Amino acid sequence: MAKKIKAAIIGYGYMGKIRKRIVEEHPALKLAGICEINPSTMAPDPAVRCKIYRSYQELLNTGIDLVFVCTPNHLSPEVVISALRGGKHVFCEKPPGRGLKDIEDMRQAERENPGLKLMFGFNHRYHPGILEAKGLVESGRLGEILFLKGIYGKSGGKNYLQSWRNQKEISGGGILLDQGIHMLDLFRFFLGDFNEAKGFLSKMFWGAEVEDNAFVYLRNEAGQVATLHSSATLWKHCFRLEIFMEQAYLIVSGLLSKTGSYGRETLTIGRRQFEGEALALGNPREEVVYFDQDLSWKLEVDKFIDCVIKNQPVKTSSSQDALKAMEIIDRIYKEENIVSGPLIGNKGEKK
Amino acid sequence: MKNVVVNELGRENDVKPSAIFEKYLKLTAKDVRQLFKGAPKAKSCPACGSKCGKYVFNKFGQPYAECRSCSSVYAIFRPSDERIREHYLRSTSACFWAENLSKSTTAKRKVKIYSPRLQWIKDMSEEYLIDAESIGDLRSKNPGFIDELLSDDFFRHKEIINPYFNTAEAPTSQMNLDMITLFEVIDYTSELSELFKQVRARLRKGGLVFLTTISISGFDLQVLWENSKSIFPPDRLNSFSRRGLEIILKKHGFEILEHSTPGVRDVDMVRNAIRQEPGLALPRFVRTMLDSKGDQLDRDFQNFLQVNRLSSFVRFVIRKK
Repeated sequence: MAKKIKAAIIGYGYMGKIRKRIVEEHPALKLAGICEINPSTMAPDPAVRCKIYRSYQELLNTGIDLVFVCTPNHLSPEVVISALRGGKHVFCEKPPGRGLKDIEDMRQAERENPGLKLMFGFNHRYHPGILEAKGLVESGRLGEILFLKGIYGKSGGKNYLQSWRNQKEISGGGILLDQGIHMLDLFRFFLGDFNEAKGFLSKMFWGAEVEDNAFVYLRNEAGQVATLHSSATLWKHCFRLEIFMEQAYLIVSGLLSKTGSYGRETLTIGRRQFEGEALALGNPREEVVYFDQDLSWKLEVDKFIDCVIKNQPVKTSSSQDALKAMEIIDRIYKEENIVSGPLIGNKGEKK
Repeated sequence: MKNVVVNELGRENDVKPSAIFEKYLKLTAKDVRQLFKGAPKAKSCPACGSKCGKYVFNKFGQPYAECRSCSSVYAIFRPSDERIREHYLRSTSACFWAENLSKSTTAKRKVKIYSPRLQWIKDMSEEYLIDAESIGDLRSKNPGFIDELLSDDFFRHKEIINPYFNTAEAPTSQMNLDMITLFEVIDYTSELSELFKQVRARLRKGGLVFLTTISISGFDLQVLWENSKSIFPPDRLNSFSRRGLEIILKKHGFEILEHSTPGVRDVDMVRNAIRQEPGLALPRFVRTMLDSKGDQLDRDFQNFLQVNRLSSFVRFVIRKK
């Protein structure tokens, strides 16, 4: 039996716990340690059977082979760079730091260590609805993509304002960087790079330091357009990606998740009908595919481990993908067109 | 495992015009006497193998049992598959089907059944077996889909294996196929293990099977039960339950990739049954529901059945392990 790869997790919050499960289920991996500096997060847990570290540097010096970096945005670059310089393969959660400089610094460390693999957690590419839509698009039978429309948003909870995600010093940005980045990555997954990016940012409700709504418009060289609404004021969690093509439309709606709050994950397939103009009902036969298993966390880690074992370059969710998504966000942030105050009173604060 | 839902409402009359279908049923009832002469009794449930079958009703003089373990319904007497094939090749009822029912509904069946079916196969092929080049249709009794398949150039190699309808001998090979279609075949198959042995022998490892059937767990069959015109021998020698179907597929070494019930006619079939027999004993709720006018409720309810895998028309995509 081949020797198992020794993996460690740095940051044991929500994502760290998901990664622990995936690592423990992976036949090639052995969980060698977890680092968490917050004692309340790292409460005694009988399910944790590996050694717990309070310092990530100490953990990096224990002979581990790779790390999952699941820390808040301001810590990720430092940990990723230290791990790479310490000779470890790195899987880092999105977003890749707080801004362009962070991802560029991480890429520099990656270039200095060409034998090591660096991947970022853009797991949405591996959601079943997205995978199936991608397969249909790539079949070529539905023609070219005309445009994409994405909505990704959530309802901010009771402690929304207190979350580190809304403290600019820690997060680097608001909902666009935190959640919208997934949709931007999916836009690139379907349409490649964009050479134009425009947008509006707004702090229309919560009154946090960072945006609570972002409206982004992208266009690539072929003229294909993608629009995103990323929001923390949708009140109902929502994920919806519409792909309009020459011969059909595909709609991925809902996301399989632990709580089911984004609704059942479905892919709607509607094929354009060639009715006479007078009879064009605009109501084609649709097929809706319901999915009941989210393997996205597993599939992306499988891909990463495959690159590590076979010493192959990381081609998907790579640092280049992360850089490109961050470049779009950087351009939108730099446009400085944030509506600076709450439009309708600071209701978030009152709560 | 995924579930596909189709936002369409179908009419039974489109694919089974009632006058012609009634005649087909009468002819089949006559043919069945000959077909079942001397047929042996089932030793156990053809789905789960349980010996706890309980008589439930007669169809054309043939008793059916319900398995107390998996709830599948099956004809107690089982003619051999060779005799069943003979029936579909030579009987008066089968000839009537081919000459009348099939021909008069060809155009509608093409649009409603055969073209979407081929589209489904292509989509799944691109998702699960991108290099698929060969496909075989096994023991089919309807030439409609075969015509659709043969006229399409998506697959390089196409075979009609052991057809149950009259056709010029189609070229066959012994090559391992990428895909096999079994459309309603398990409904009229006596020896299921032999059928799946044949499927496994012709299918490459990792190959896909596209299987459709009518399940007793579906709405119209549960509501109409012995009054359903869909259950009769030999067309529905078996009507497996949802659980029974899963047992069969797993037992024969297949992984289920898709399990959907994209039926569009359950509600219409119950409506038609009431229309033809107003005194039919039905649950009060069903009567109340069907008293409402207009398509919207039918659409919504049919959609609910599909989303929850409760329509009687079932389709599977399964992969050989």
